Amino acid sequence: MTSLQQRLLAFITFCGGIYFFLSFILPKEIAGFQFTAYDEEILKGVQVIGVMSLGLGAINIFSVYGRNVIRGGRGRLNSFALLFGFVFTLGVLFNEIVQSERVLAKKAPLLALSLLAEKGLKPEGGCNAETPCTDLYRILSTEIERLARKELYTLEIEEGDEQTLVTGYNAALSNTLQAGRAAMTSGTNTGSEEFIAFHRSLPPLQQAQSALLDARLKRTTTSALRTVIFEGFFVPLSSAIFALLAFYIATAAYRAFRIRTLESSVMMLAALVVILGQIPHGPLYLSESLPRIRLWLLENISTPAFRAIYFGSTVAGLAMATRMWLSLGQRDSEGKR
Amino acid sequence: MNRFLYLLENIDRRVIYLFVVGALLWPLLSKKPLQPAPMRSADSFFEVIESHTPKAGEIALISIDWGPSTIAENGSQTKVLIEHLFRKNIPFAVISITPYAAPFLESLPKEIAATLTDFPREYGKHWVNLGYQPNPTISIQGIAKSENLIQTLKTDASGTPLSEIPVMQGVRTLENIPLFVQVTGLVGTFNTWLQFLQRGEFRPIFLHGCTSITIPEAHIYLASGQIKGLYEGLAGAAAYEWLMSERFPGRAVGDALIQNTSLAIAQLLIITLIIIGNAGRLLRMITGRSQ
Repeated sequence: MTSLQQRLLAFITFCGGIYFFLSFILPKEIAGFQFTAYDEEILKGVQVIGVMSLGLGAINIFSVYGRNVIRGGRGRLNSFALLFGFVFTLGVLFNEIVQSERVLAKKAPLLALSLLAEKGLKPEGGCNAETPCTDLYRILSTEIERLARKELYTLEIEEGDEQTLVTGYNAALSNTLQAGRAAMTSGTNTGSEEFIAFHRSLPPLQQAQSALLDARLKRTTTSALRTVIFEGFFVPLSSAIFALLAFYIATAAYRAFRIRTLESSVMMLAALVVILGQIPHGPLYLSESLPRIRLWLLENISTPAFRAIYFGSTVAGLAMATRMWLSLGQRDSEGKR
Repeated sequence: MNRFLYLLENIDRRVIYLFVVGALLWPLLSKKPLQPAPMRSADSFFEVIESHTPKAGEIALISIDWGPSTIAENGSQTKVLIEHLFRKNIPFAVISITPYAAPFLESLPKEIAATLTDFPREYGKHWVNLGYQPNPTISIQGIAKSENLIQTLKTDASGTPLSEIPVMQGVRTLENIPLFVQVTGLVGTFNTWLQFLQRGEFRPIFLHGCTSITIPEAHIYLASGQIKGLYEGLAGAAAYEWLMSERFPGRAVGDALIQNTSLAIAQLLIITLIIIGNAGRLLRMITGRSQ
């Protein structure tokens, strides 16, 4: 990296830091300039950088493990398993997103119709007996005719669709259509009883459509593969790896927890009290006082110690952040690059 | 004698593994839970939920920030919490800043709702899934600063506009979320919520569920009053579940009580092993001196 690049990086880092630093210590507004006004744009920028780093991570994985697979180095099979799992999971989840978007697109027209009907009922829309909304009426009439012709609103009933869901959808569709036509023939007054009935018929239709589409989405191969990846591999493997700790802790405690010094004796005694303090009632519940002693240890010994460690690490973090902000990390103790 | 003492100090690890399997399996198979030890932090948690009466248009926010690795502890905590909210008819939204938790946001409330046949709880009416929110700091600040949460969050996890979801209708700002619960096994995620989920002088009541390993850290916030109740690992969930069974007689015994019994027996096994190991060492020292 050239000196100019380094200076540019240091300058950008400093500018990024100074904004948040000043917005924290200065009043919200100085001579008409509001610090918080640009928060959203800056944070969006941070998100973009975050997304780019995801891509960089993926490239890095392919570069390191792909090279290992091609050159046949040690752990070739493991590298291949990693890459295969990565690509396969990515493919399945991407496909699932595409399918979900398709389902949402199918749900959208009915949602729009519902919002239109909602608009007709709102007083601020000017739709009532005195001032009927002719434009809204015209749009709604067109939509209801589309509904009758099943343009946009059609759902191809496939073999295997749950019959009760199909029946429910068909019944709700027929009900909405009937109510919609009655509302349209009653006139342009969107506050009429017929219009209200039409408006009320829409949520059940939306629910029925949603249930049918969601059930269909769950039947797809992609959905089944996602279930296999997550419920068949990810959940059991993660739980199993964590559960192995129980075995290691048992053997480690047996081998390492030997009373050799005063300190180790105190530590073991505290550990015993904490464990026994939360043992359930029964033959092994030794005393009513143990839960209280356990709590006392946590509140009066452990908490202050943890607080001290926490404060210490936070101050160290602040020092570290300042060094990064001022790009001091690039220089050695003598100020040389 | 020396051979016996040597054996006491050097039990084969495979024998220990077998004992651990037995200790864990016995309560899980017999399904006979023991009454958990009393826990003040769980009592406080229970009292907060029990006395919480949301106004119209208010919801509770639950952040499920754990993955499959801590499902035994955090899963039991979340389940019993959701059950309590359902039973108390407190509407809630589930959210996460941890990607691994995303599938549980949908499955856990559905699973609990399916068991409560006496009073059906429906998606949209009683709860909503706000999904995984990437970039925690920015997302939480967005929620805290928002003047219209429906516009800020836009849709639920499945893409349905929040404006169409009944339970969200009265929710405009953070002030409509008087109760916040975070359940996690990850150190640091709770701090993020604690730092940023505040609007002016308003801060929701904070409750927290953690794994056993992070109990000492969580106690810092409990002692300072920043959280009003705490699930201390699996034992905390079991203590809470016991309170639930007392409050709602006839409810089915949940996972936490049985798993906690299993855990307790495994812990006792560890204590026994430590005693055996030290006894062997002590006896060897005594016999060595006498010789």
